Amino acid sequence: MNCSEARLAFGAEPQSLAPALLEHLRGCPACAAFQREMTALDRDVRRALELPVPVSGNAPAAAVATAARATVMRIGNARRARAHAQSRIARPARWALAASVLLAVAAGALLWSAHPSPSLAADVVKHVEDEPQSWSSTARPAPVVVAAILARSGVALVGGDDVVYARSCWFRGHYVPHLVVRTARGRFTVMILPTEHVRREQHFSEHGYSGVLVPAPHGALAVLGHSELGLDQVVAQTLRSVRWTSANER
Amino acid sequence: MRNIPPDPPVSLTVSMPLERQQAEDPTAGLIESLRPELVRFAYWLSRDRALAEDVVQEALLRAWRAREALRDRSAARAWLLRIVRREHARLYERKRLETTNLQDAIAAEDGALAACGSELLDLKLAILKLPEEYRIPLVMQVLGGFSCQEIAQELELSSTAVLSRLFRARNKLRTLYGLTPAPEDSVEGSP
Repeated sequence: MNCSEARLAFGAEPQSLAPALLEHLRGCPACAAFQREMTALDRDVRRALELPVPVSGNAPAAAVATAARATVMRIGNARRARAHAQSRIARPARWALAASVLLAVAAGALLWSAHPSPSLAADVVKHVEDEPQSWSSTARPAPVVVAAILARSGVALVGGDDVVYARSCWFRGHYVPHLVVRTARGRFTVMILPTEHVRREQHFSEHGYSGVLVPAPHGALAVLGHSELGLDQVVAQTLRSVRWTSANER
Repeated sequence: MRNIPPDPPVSLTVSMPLERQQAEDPTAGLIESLRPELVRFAYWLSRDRALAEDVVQEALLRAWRAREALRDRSAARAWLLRIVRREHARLYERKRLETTNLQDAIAAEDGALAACGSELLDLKLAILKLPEEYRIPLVMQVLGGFSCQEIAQELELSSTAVLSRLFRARNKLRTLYGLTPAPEDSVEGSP
């Protein structure tokens, strides 16, 4: 083994104990020094990688907001690009599409008035089931992250100290805030649905969950828990805390 | 937070909440207990905490769905790290996720990393700046504990190429420490 081979081997695996390498080191002080340097460097690399990573709750708001904004802007750009591509649909096709949509909306409105959002409740339950980790989250998300998630859907939250999980989730064609709040009566999922409409409060029970859909000033709220107890308090608290802002990406 | 409209939903085969699943299936608890480590791993792959959490979220759902494949619980960590690595690759390579300009991303992370402490900050930033082809094998080896052979298999590279990339990664970091980089002329494998 020559010096180049030895340095390549130690550079790739500083902890290597291959007999041929060790034998080379015994006769080559320069490579032995190189190996010591690489070992020390590797220790620091390991420490650096194992140190806490950003947004662990102790990051300053500005730094976290910058990262959150970068992500949101990136998503926004992608969505705008898709919207631009969709706008290229030929005009006659648009009219035909619009007519079809009107008919569909009229038919849907009739059904909706007769039986408000039965599938919305099912979709909420299914969505929550698809994110089982939301129930076990213990780390409180940084307030600025929660704010960024909410802002994306045109919503702000006053307080929010009880939020233990926050995601912006793709739900029925839109990104919506998916929160989990911790209360004395257990955890509850709160989904803020700016583009959904329910005419009146609608309780439901599916797959072991108890939930309620309620109309909100701009859209609807869905609150889901493992028990009916406490649902109403969470709904009331959420309605008091949510602020609907004008700037949103709906 | 999902950054792209989702794939066909990854639906779980069970409908009970995770707390109950954990009580009845210890694999769920094991998977969840490794989450912080997985997020750290995903962060160094993606250089973006929000994306890292997305990657881990999707990876855990996939892991849960495929949990029958995990026969040896002691292998759970490596198994999950592999799923995270593949999920990261899937997001970036197959979905062609839009990425921010590298300098913007680094600038955004600069302050965030600094907020986590000044210890080894320069080294952390230098690792962030490493090209992906060098950074990913390095993170897999140092943080993930993968051998060169395992990295080669995972990244579908030759062992020589992996050795070369690991060597180059560390060689670039040497300059930070005022050390003379080793000549790379004789290094074989892909650059």
